[in-house]
Amino acid sequence: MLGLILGVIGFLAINVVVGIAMGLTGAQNVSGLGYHHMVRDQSSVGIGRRLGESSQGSPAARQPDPVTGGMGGAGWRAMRTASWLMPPGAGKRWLMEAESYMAEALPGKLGPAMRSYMVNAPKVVTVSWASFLKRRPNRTRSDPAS
Amino acid sequence: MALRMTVQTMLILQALLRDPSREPYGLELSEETGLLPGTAYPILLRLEHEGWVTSRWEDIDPHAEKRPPRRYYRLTANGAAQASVAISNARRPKGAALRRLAEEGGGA
Repeated sequence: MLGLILGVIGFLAINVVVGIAMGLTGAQNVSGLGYHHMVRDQSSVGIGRRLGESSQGSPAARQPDPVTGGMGGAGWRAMRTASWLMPPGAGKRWLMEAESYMAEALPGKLGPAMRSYMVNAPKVVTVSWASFLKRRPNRTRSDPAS
Repeated sequence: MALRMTVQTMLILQALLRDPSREPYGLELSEETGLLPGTAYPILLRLEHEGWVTSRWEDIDPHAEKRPPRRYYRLTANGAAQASVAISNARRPKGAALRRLAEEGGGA
């Protein structure tokens, strides 16, 4: 019973944190997409190159991106914030999956995709923590070191 | 953790069952099922944790391919068997519904 209550409280807390992260990072503009920046932050491969991105210091780099409309990395920052709530390794994998999808998806699908990642982030947090705790070896009273 | 058989889960399982030897990646699965990738991901994660699905990163040089590696998903033998049962169960009308239909038919 206590576990169930704690689970519900945890899930609500995750939703609140993700909601705050989305609000703080301006995720209402997520449809505008920060993936352009996301890839530049995370790796040198992906949509940044696909769009023929020039170097950061050039005037072209300061122009609003033709696809993202210069929305910046709001979506990416929100996703990275959400990934911090996931267990070690799970957040990175989630971000890499998103990166992989967005690098090959049609530009028109990027906004809805980014939104769907954010909307379903609490589910990923819950599932990945449940799995992490299940796999974790039980180190309680039977630990001979204690 | 019991696997909840939602419509979205069924769509993913059906897509994977179409050819169990194939290894679709996120974008392919998303296009085949009509689900957005953010919706499909936690389902695949759940299936993987239940041992129904296995996944691996594509082994490529991202710089040479000019794209990040894909993550490929495949049903395990156990997963394929369980998915087939789950899908056939979902297609089969429930006993209560059949009884109700029979009663309605009998009364008419």
